[in-house]
Amino acid sequence: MITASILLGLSCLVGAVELTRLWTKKHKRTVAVYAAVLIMGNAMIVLRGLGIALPNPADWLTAALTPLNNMLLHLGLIES
Amino acid sequence: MNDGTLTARQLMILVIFFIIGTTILVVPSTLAAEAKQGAWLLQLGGTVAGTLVLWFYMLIFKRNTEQNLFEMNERLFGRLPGKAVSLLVAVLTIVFASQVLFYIGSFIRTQIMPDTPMEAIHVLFMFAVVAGVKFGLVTMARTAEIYFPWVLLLFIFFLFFIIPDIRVNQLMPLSEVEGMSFVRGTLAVVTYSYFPLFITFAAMHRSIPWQKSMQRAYLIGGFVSGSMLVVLVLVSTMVLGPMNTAVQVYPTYVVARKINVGDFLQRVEVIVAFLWFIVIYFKLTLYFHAIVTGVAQTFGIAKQAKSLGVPLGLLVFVLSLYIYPNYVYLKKWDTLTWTSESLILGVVYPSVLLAATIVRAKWGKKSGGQPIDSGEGAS
Amino acid sequence: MRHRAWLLVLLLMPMFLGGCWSRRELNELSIASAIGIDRQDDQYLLSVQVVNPSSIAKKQGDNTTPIIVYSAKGVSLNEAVRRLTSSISRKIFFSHIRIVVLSEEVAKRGIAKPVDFLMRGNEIRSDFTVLIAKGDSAKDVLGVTTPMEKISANFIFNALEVANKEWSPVASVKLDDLSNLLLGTGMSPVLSGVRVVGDPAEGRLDQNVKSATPPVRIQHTGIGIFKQDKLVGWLNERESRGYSVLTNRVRRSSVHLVCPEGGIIGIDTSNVKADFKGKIIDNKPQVWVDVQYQGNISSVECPIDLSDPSVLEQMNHQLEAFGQTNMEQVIRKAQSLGTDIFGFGLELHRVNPTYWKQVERQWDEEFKKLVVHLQVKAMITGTGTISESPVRKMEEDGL
Repeated sequence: MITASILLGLSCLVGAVELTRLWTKKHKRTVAVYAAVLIMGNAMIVLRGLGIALPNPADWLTAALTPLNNMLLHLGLIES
Repeated sequence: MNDGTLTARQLMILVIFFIIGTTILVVPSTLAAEAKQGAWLLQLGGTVAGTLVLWFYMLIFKRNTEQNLFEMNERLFGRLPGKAVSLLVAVLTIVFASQVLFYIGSFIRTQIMPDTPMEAIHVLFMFAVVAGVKFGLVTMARTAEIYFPWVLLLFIFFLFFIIPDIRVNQLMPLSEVEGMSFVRGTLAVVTYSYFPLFITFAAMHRSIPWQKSMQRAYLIGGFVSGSMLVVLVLVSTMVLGPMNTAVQVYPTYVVARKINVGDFLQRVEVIVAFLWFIVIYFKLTLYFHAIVTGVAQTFGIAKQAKSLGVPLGLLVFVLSLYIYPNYVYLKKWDTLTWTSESLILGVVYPSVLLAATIVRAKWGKKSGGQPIDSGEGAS
Repeated sequence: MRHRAWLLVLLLMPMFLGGCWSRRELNELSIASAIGIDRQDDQYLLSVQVVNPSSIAKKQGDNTTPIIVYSAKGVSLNEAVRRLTSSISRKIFFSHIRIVVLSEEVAKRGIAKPVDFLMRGNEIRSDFTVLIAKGDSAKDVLGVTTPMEKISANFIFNALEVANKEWSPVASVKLDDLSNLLLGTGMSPVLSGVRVVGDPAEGRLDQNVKSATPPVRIQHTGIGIFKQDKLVGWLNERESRGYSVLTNRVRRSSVHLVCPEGGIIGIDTSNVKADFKGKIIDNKPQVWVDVQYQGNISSVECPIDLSDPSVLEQMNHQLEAFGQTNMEQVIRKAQSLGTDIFGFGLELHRVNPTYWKQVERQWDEEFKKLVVHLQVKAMITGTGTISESPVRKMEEDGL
């Protein structure tokens, strides 16, 4: 919990500084992307801090690549 | 200054650091489990194969000068499909970067500081990585250049002081490696060390003028680092024995522990660990650079790529905390899924790009090039 | 302004300084110098010999003992460690252990389990010697006070290291050699034995080392041989010598030979080398062992004429016969127990991997049928710093 809030605080602090700088330079799209990713990251931290399990992209990759995995196993190119 | 170009030497050093990166920690164990005392042969095969793979990548780089990977995507596949591919590559690289971060954190936690929470180590490391990317690729390259002699020195120091503990007979019998074993081992080496080089080095393509010296540097880097790893695997087998090497999670660290010169110079394994921190740092930074460039390019903000460092860093950090829930998952994922997607990203994808480049070259002369989206103007 | 913001962030970062989490101050640690593992009531009894730093550091002796032995029981070794920690005021630090002593019972049940514990921990390194307590409990061995070295673990470790080089019937085996042998096939491990001479209860007292000849001592005794990971037998002194020669562990040693007219000659052997070559003939394994001794005469206790070359020849032959008998004895013993402690299997593996692949799993059985051809060559070269012996002079003068 403590780590989560500290990280959150820090990222918002840095975010505020950087976003103001970007805004004044009229880089609106950058601000949008930055904010989006920042919110995503912070959300993940908060959720983790609350103990909610987050979806694991490694699992998605494994799911997507299962046919190829099986083929490689079959060929003997990998051994589990 | 930040949009400068790399020198051939810097390129070679970056390649060496990248390839040694995480492999130096774990690969001897995998190879020894596969081929026992013949592990070094597998690494040798992997080095040769890997250098060939790098040469193949160079063909693509040569034909698409002045464009980084993501611009290539858009030019060759069309604007929107290209962006989709770029985003996919960037997202995948986020996963890889978080894995590298996990590796370093896991190593520190297992061997050196078992009570420290993951978050602390990962945050510290990530902070350095983000800062590095913010400073720019050229600065990073120069830093690598500064660190290179030290890395080399530590490596030689490590090898030199472990010589008394080498028992050559643990390397016999030499001829026991079976065909499939060799193929598997070579594939493992190439997927761990060489395939990822495509997306990472292609991403910084812009900064590299690909004349002859650069090409040579790229290939030499690949070969030199592979050879260093061959020596390392040899040493590990000869000092610990093939069975021990296969069983240890971090065999090179255990070998470093054995350094004992005259009962005086001993317990210096952490100094050798510094070597690994440095190389892994550069591997992670290169991955991260690819991520940042990729995301920026996709959303059309290429010139402000660096600003995205902090939020993306945060993302990589959080992901690294749970990307590998435990060691068993790690082993399984690294053998199965990693090999598959590394093959795709390292063989299929570049081949498609190469094919598309050739096709475009033939047809593009007739219809003229498509405009490339490069962002919101200079900052 | 931007720089100041970054500076602020930088100043906040040290909150995440990872090092502070895992810090362990020296005065919170108790440094273990030896571990002993026994078996009691179906549980492990873990004993730890802990150094008492204030006693070591003082120049003149004080009333506290330099080492303290603590014990605790546990179903698993890990549990025993934790239970142990609760009875001491400090956390135990294992990185400095010099020896691990296993009781005979633990050795007979199988050392693979304790070895796993020793290998897995990140604090425990691999440069310590593993020993078996013969006849006593490991706890007793750890408790004996030793002269010259305040920390008895150091004494035991150093004594074994020196003995390893200077006296052949001992074998100093470190953990990584042990684990390598346990994990692989083709060679079985051996471990040196220790025992307590005298009453262990008295050995714990300071009084023990206050005398010029301590009544209770640690003695290195015999080599225990293993099959797989279980203790199956002990080698006596002659067999241990044979073993040490065959495995190239001995550098210098001492032998006595009998003179033709009665009496003894002492020989210091040096540069003992054994080479072996394996061959598979008719699908049967055979090994040729070539042993070379070099020696110097160290003491003459009989009236022989050292200027006569045939006398030296006789001595050579005797030495060869001695070595040969020892080695034959130990090979026979190992074969009868069905365990290859010499590494002949490894040699055959190197020489003929295909054959090895077939027999690897039944090597313990196949080993019994192995034919070993021994060839021993001895060369006694020097006679020490005097040539003619006073003993001979006495005999000649009829005294």
